[in-house]
Amino acid sequence: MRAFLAATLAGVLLATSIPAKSQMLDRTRPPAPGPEPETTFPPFSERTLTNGLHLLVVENHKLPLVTISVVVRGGASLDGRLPGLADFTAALLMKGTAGRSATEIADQIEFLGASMHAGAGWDATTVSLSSLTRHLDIVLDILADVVLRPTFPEDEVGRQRALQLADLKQMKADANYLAGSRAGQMLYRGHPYGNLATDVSISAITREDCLKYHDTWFVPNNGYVVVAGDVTADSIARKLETLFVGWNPHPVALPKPPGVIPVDATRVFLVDRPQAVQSSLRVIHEGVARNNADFLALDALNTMLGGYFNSRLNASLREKHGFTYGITSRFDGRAAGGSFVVACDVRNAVTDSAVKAIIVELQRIVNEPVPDSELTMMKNYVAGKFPLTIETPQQVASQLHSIELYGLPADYYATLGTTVRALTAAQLHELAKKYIHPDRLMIVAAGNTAEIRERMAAFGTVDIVDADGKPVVH
Amino acid sequence: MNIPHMAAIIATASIASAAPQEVHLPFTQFDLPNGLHVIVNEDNAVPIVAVDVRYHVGSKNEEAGRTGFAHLFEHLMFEGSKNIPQGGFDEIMTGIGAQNNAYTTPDETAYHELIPSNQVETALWLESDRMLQFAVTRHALDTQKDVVKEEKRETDDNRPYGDLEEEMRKLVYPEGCYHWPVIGSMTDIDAATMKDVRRFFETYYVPNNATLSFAGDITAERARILAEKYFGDIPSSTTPITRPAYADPPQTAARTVSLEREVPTPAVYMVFTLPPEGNDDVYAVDLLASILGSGESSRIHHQLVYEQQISSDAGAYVESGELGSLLNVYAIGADVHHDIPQLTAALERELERVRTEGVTARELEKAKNQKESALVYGMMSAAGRAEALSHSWLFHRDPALATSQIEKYRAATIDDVRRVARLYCAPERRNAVNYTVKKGS
Repeated sequence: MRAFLAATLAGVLLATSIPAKSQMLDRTRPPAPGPEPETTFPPFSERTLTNGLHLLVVENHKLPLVTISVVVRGGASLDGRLPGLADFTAALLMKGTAGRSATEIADQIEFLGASMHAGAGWDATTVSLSSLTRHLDIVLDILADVVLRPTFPEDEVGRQRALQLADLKQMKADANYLAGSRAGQMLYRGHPYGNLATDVSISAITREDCLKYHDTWFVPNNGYVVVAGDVTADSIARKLETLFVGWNPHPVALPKPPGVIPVDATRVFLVDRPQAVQSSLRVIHEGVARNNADFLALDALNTMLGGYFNSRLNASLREKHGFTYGITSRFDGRAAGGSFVVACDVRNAVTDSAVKAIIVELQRIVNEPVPDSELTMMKNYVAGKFPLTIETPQQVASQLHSIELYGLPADYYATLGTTVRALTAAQLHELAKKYIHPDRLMIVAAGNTAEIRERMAAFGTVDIVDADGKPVVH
Repeated sequence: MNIPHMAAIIATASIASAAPQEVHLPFTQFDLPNGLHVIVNEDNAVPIVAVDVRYHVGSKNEEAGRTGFAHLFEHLMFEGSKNIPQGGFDEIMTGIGAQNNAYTTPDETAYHELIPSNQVETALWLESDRMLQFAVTRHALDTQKDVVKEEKRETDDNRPYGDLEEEMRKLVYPEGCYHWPVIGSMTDIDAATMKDVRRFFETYYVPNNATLSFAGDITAERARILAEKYFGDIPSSTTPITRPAYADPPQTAARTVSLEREVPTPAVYMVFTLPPEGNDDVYAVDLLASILGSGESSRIHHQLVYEQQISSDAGAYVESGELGSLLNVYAIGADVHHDIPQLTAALERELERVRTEGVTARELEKAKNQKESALVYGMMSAAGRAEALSHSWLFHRDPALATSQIEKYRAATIDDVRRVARLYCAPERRNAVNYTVKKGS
């Protein structure tokens, strides 16, 4: 309380002596920046354990914390006839092992203030663990247990099925999920990335399916581990060697998915949410895989189009028109293909105007090279934000994860700034012409079809489904 | 796969009882003559600095008919000031690779930047220019009204259970200044005038109502020089700021509102009012909330989601506030037939258990371990450190509380937890917002 009074009094006293104009700082010009700090990508170590498991470690002893991710390649792209299987299997890893019940696993981890998550993305299954360093040995033991010795108890399979069906029910009420999943399903038709989990597929998954997925793909030579934080590379390698004794390599043949079929003409896909006051929009077409040589430059190009707050799309749809709270675009690169996607939520009445405004920006970036001022701003942005992207060991770990999963060069992030600085407006213009297609787009909206349908038909043929994916006939 | 279980299982309790984790957050603080309070945490690990400018104003300072104004004003702060044209703020920030954002709560409005350390002056130039004299046009005001209305649609109106905050506040705070949601109402947002904007700025956006925090690659000495250079010439205000007081009468009977909505399944959200943030009892209730509903092994999650399988999600958490805090206890039905009476009874059973039997020593130790971990994680980023220091100053006049609060948690006993469970979670103190599924949806 004393500090508060003192501060207030000082304020009152000073109010009587407001500085004259001449004493004011000249704020008409921006301050000159200081010399650019020397920043380098943090060193990390790589090694292969005796069982073939690849280990990447970024040491950081600032805080007594460790994060460990065990990754197995394949993920949901291996779901096959049972969409959702990889994620279902991942969730069950933590629901019973040779030595621990589901309840014991959750309780032991949470008792230590640690956290553990398991889930599958399109290209990999990840089990990640965060803990204070002083509990490392105990939590590592649990981690090894869930990755190597899950038992998939029948009653837990039943629980998981019910829980995932309940989650799916909630998700189907979410406009963003409906738009995003419909967009992915339509773009990646015939490709594993278009294989969406449904009530039917979740209901069909059995204990044997999970066991088989685990036996087939959870193989050390099909995985890697990323460790970040307060450990030494040697000590964690020794611990993992001990914990993973008996986890033996055997040949794994990951299937090679087909290519993504290019979008051939602009079409409209609506998901009906009868009471919606907004449309969740996706404008999407095929892109490139994450390891494509053009990906980095495309990401730089996209930064100007829809990658930061000052992007063309946000400047138009949010700041100029007030159509949306925010809009982004991105090249979503995965292991076996990718997409270019624009995403935003807009009120019903301006849904078609928003699409038109998006197409205008796509055309502009294809038709004209970006001006130098904009290119410079983007390059300065990429260079300036570099130290922000390596602040925590967890941020660095996530970059190592991309390097390992997609097979990027080891110095990808270390040299990213230099690579972007060398890009020219002409090069980016060529890439825009090659990879952005304003004339053939899938326009997906989850919203109030009765209100938006007619005007959306101006863009192309309209296909309407309900939240369950069933065709809606008007 | 059949793999022998090699490593010995070590009893967890014995290890966890080791000496408590030390958490350090060194800082320097000082006042400028105009009343601006400055806090500095120096940390040179990475050449970045987090800058946090925080004003002691939020939605509780609004007037009836002008709800949502503090948040609308937060948007306007990016729309131009004396020397920065509209759009200039974000353009300059982008051009140096900085991240910046802002948020509004019932109690405070925070603006923060994360910047390369050689550009710290740029952030101070921009922040000081808009504290000195912002210059928003009528056109910018109109556009931001549209943006904010879109934000409300996206986060509230177009989402299942999205009107929870609005309905809960009406129920829990029938009279006081926490009655309305931060986002406000569409009508009130539309009603905001340029005159409102000017008055709000002149009253609240003054150095003697603000805190400036730095965390990262900057020395206390340089921070002082730069704070004086950029903020020293901003006059303080003599306009008195009226601080709203807690005006809701003590609750004497349970209150319930039933909402029939387009939701996938029924849901029960219970709220119990608590003392203001910083009160010792709130720390004890926070530990109780962890035991009841944080994580899969917590009582409510284990019972409702795992054992009974009547919920897809259920838990408990504390939301702290300057004039009063809230304990939230909730359960979302796993399917349409898990109705309000069933969900309510299951939650009430767990509340009754803590009121009568209290919690175990092991449960309390686990909750304390969780708070300790969360505190260490919070120190990881410069932005987190700057925010914790600013917030602790603004509401407690004690930046050290950002880390010393762990002692408050450690001091709580199982008797304390049972006492607060009985005191604050009594049935007659319950407020419930019950969602039922609209027929035909």
